[in-house]
Amino acid sequence: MELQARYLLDALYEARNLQHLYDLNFRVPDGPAKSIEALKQLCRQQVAREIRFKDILLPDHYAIKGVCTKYDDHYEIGTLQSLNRCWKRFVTCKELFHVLLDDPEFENLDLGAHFEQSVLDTPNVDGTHAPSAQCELIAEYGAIEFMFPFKDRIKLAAQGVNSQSVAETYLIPRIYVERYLSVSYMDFFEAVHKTYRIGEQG
Amino acid sequence: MDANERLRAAQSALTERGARDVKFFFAPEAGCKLPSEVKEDLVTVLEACINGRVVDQQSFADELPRR
Repeated sequence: MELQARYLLDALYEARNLQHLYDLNFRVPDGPAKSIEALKQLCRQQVAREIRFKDILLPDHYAIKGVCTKYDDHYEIGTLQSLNRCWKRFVTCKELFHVLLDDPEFENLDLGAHFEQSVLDTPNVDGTHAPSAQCELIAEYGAIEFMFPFKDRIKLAAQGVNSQSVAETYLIPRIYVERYLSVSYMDFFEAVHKTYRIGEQG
Repeated sequence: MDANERLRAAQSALTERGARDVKFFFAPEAGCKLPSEVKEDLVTVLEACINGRVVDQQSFADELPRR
């Protein structure tokens, strides 16, 4: 899926802004795993609408692990109740990035179209992808930058670490550790950081 | 009702409730399922939300003290 650069940059800068606020507001213990309760507090402060968090009473074998619904006066984030700790953390974080990156441009209540654009990666006739579909990936990138930042991934990739161990350290699903430490993803984000001169956070 | 009809019904229900947008977390294994299976999963999750099969999310046991 081709992404608009400004969406990607918005997600990365939002993650960095959150990191800054996180460091300012909370006494952060040793270890890189982020507190999702702290993230929820920060997001509630950042966003005008109320954010409600729900557990969906279904087993975890469904391919849809979470839902973020926007109403006029609130957002509702639902995650499958039966997800394990790492999955529930990551799904909650990613759905919160939908809230943080919310824009009328991303709104799409045509569920059939959104499904096809997101799951089937169906492009528009001109080859572009709908903003509402792009923002699914963008929200994931923002969540990863917050929970498993690129500056950490650079160091880990150079060491050749065990993905299970990293997943347990960062408390994120192992599949995302492997994906974001893969050569192609590391090359992609390195190119993004160089092209747009995204420097180290102070 | 088939999945497409259920999806349209879910969309109508959400619209009636004032929803303006819905986003989903499609897990990586969605790529290993048939699109029709993923759609079935989607409508099942949406119907659970619409029909009140939800409770307040339990807190994560990771709360940090404020400075």
